[in-house]
Amino acid sequence: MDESNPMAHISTASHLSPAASAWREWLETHGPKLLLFARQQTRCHEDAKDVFQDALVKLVEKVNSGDFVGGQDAWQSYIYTTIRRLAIDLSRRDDRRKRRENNVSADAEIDQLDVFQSWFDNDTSDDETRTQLERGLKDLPEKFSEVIVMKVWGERTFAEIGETLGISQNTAASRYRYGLEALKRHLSNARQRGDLSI
Amino acid sequence: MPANAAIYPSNPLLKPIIQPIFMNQDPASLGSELKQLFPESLDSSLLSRLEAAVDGTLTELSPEEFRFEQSLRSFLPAPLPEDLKNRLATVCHHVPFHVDETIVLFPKTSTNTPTRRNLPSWSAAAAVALIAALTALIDPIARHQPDALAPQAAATPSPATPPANPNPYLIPASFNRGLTAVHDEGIVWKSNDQPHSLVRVTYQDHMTLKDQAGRTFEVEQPRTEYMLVPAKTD
Repeated sequence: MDESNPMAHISTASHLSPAASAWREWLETHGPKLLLFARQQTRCHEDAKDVFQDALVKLVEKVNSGDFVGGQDAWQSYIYTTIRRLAIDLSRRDDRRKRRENNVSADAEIDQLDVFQSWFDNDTSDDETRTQLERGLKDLPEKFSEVIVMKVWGERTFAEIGETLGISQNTAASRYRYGLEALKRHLSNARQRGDLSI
Repeated sequence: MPANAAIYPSNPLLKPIIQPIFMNQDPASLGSELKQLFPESLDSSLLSRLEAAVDGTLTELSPEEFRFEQSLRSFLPAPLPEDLKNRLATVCHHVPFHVDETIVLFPKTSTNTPTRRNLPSWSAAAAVALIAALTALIDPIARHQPDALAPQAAATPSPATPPANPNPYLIPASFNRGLTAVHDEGIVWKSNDQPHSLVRVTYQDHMTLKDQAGRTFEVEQPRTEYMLVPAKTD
């Protein structure tokens, strides 16, 4: 075991309790898509990580106290909703802070750092397409991109998405269609410009 | 400059409506002029969208949309960074994991024990809960096997008898109903105008089973009961 890393004992599956092992497996399965949603909802990678962690803490507290209604199936819906709510709160706080400090350079710095933190797995796609897809999602109006992220990578139904966003499933489906169309146009234009080799 | 120019800037969309309104102040003729204006007809895409919403097919994807969705899905979200994964695992480390409604995996050390702060105020409720639990255990045994209780009490170390085991190859070795938490849910008034505290009592049943090879299996299941405890009034 790596003595310098206090977390090392957690990563060794054989030392974990059944519950801790199950949680870790659950995080490895569902964590990437939840973090992707958090990234879509927040301004930068660090904010996304914080928001995701806070949402998980809230879930864990509810489960631990016995106040959580529903089984494991409902965990993801709860985390999606909580991530969105926390991201909105964070955005409002950031806006107030920015107005106070007029801190534009900090934003530029964050953007610079975020370039190195891709939304998608490097091993499963070529760099150009991945970059264009990420840019396309970022350029979309948020109300379209959040539905796309939840539907495509979160594999949520329109009914579940509607519940998370407080809209009807028909509205969620319409936003999804508009978003897909716009994303397809973005990728097609990139292909025509020669930014995409496929 | 006309009088309305400042109020209505040169917006070409407003002109056809505004000019007749300001040229003719007579309400009767104004009404008839407005009636000649018709709302724009629905475009075909909105029309088909509305029809699909009425049919309930709006949430169904076309084959082309489905293909594009699948191509997007081939891009996997980036895996969790190792530092975040460890942070999140630490958050969940001591929390039971609910596999489904009946199976819950528990951590090695439970954090569900009631805090010392809560014990004095709820010791009475906890005692009542314990008595109720013991009564619930002993009563069915005594009712169904009135002669068997006394001799078996000496033979078995646990006062509780586990539920009937459907698996003939697993034999119950021990059964324990552990009280893990007591929560005050507030005051309720019964029909006789007596206030009662609604108490939520959480148990953690623990059963040990043995198979024919002598291997032991531990099963734990949480259970919640609600009780009414008479509350004091002045």
